Amino acid sequence: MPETKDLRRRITIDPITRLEGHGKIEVFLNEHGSVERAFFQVPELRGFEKFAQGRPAEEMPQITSRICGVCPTAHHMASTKALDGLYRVTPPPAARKIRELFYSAFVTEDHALHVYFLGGPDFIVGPKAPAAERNVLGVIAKVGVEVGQKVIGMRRKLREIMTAIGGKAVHPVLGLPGGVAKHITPSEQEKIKQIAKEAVDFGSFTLETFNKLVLQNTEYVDLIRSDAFTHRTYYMGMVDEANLVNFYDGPVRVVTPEGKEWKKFAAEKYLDYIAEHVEPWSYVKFAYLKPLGWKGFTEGSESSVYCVAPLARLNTAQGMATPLAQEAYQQYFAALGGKPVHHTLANHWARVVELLYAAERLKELAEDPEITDSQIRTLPTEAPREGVGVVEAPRGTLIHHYQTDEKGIIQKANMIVATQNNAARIAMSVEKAAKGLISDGNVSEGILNMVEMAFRAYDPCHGCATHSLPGSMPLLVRVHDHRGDVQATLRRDWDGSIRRS
Amino acid sequence: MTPQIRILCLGNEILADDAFGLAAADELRRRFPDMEVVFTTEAGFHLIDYLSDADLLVVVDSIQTTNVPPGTLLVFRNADIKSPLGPSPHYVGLFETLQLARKLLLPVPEEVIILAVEAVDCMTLGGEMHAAVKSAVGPVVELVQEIARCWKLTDAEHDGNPAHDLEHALAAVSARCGADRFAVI
Repeated sequence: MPETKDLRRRITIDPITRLEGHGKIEVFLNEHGSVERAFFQVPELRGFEKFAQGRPAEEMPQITSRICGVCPTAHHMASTKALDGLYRVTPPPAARKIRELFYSAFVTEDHALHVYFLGGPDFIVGPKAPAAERNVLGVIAKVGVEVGQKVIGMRRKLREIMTAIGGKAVHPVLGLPGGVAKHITPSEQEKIKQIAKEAVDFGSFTLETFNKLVLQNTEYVDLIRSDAFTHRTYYMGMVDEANLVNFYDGPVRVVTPEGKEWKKFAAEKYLDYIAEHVEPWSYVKFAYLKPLGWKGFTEGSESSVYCVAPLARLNTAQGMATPLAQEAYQQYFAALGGKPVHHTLANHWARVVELLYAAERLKELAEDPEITDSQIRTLPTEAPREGVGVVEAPRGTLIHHYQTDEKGIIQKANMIVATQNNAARIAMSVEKAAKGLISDGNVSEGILNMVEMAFRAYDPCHGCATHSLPGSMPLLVRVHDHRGDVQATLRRDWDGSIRRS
Repeated sequence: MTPQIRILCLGNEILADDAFGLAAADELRRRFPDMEVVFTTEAGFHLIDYLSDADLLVVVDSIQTTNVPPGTLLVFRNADIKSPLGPSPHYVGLFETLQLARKLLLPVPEEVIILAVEAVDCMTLGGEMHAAVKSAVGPVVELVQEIARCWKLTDAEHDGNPAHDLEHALAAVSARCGADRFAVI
C-alpha cells in the first residue's frame, strides 16, 4: 500500500469545506476503484482553554456543566474533582458518598435512556429493518408503549433524587471543592432507597428484555461478531481498588488488546499516558497512548490506539462490584467468547450490564448509614495550583485539568471528552466500513447507513453541546478517485434527505 | 377558552450562535411578561420535560442547514417534518422526542411551530454571536408575538386551519421585517 506521503500531496485542507456542524468523510480510491484510505472528521468543540482562562476555577463546575446538554452531570463532577485536586483537599466520606450516589442516579438514567431510546433503533429494531422503522418509534413498536412509559417513569424518579440532592437535576448545585453543598436528610434517604430499589428491578427487567429482544435475534448477534465492526485496540476505564468498574473515582486502568493490564495510573498522571495526535487532514485531535508513541490508525499490540465507554470498561475491569451486575458481566463474556471483547456493537450490551451496576450501586449508597452524616465539607486551606478531575462519563473517560494562579484564576486548562479518547478507533471503524462497502468505485447510499451504525455504537459526543436542530448531524461523504479528483459526493442533510452529486 | 401557548427557547449561552435561544428568551420576557417563556440548555431526549401541557408550542432554536444565509429564520410546523435517524444517539433531537412523547401518550400539543435561525458557529466555547444571527432576535420576537396574537383570535376569526394562522402571522411580520428574513420549510 502506497505511503501516506503520496496521499498528502493530493489532500488539501480546504478551510471553506470545514462545514460547520457536518461530519465529513473523505474517501480516497486507488486505480482499481477500491478504498485506499478513508478519513473521518466531526466538528469538535473549540476554544476550551481560551474560554477557561481568566475565570475563577470555583465557577467551573457550574459553567462546564453547560458544555453538554445531554450529560451535564459528568462535566460538573469531573470539574468538581479537579477543584479537590486544585485545593489539595479531600472530601469527607459522606460527601464522597453523596457525590457518588448522585452520579449513580445520573448514569442509571442516562444508560436507561440510551438502551431503550437512543441505541435501541440499532439493536432493538435491528440494522436490517427499513430506515423508516429504525428510530425511537420503531423501538416503541417493538417493546410496547407500556415499557416506554416505564422508562419515562424511571427517569422522572431518578431526577427526583437528583433534585433532592442537588437542587435541580440539570446544572445541580452540588459539587464544591472538598465536598458537597447539602447533606441528605433521613426522610430524603428513605425516598432515595425506595427509588433505588425500583431502579434495580428496572435494571433486571432491562437485562431480561435485552436477552429476549436482542440476543435471540441471531442476525444481530452475527453482526455484533462480524469483522466489519471489530477492532483490536487497547481499552481504558476507571476502576476501584479491587479493579472493578467505578464511574465516580479510582485509578484509570488500561489493558492491552490481549486483555492484560498495561498501566494503571492516578488522575493527576494522565499526561504521562495520554497524548493527542493531529493528522494533517483533520482538525480533530486523536488521543493515543503516549509511552507507545503514535503508530497510526492500526490495531493489535503494535497499536497505541485505545477505546473508552461501556465496552472498554468491562474489558478493563476484572468484574463488577455488585452481585446482579457481576452475574450479567459473566454471562456477557461467556456469550462473546471471553475477555476482551473487541466488537464495537457490543457496547450496547455492555451498557445494559453497567445500567444494572449503576442501579445496584445507587441502592448500596442509599442504604449506607453514613449517607446522612452532616460532615459534608472539608474547607480548602491551601492556595490553589493545579488539579485534575477524572470521571467515567456514560460515554467514557472524561478529564478536566486546571492550572491557576494563587487566587484560583485559571491560567491554563485542558479537557479531554470521552469521544476524543475514541476518535482514532472511530476513524478506523469508518475506514473499515468504507473499505467493505465501496468497490469498483461504486458508492452506494448503503454506505451512509453502515458507516453511521459503526459510529452510532460509540455514541460520539462531538458537538453534542449544540442544540442546533434537528439534533442530527448532517454527514458528507466525498469520494476521490486515484488522482484525487472528487468523483462523487453523498450528503445526508439535516432533514434526513440524501443528496448525491 | 384562551389557548395556552408556551415558547420554548433552546440554546447554550456559552456556545456562540447557540446562545440565540437565550437572547430570544430574554427579549420575549422583557416585552411580554405574561407570556410563558421557557429557556433550557438541555438537549436531546431531555426536552421531553418541556413538551407537555400546552395547546401550542413555539420552539426557538438555531440550525445549520448551510442552505440559506446566516440569520435567516426558518419556519416550520412539526406536522411537516419527518424525523431522520441521527448519526449518533447523542443527537436525538426535538423531532424524535416529540414523536416519542406522542407515542407514549404524553399530553403534547398537536401544533408545534419551530423557528430556527441559520447559525454560523455553534462550536466555539465562549464565542460571540455572529451579527447576522443576533439581528434575527428582533424578527423572531415579532413573529412570536404575531403567532400568539393569531392563536388568540376568536373562533369566528379562525378557520380551524393552523397553517393559515401561521401564514397570516408570517405575512404580517414579513411586511415589517422583510420577506427574505424568513424561509418557510
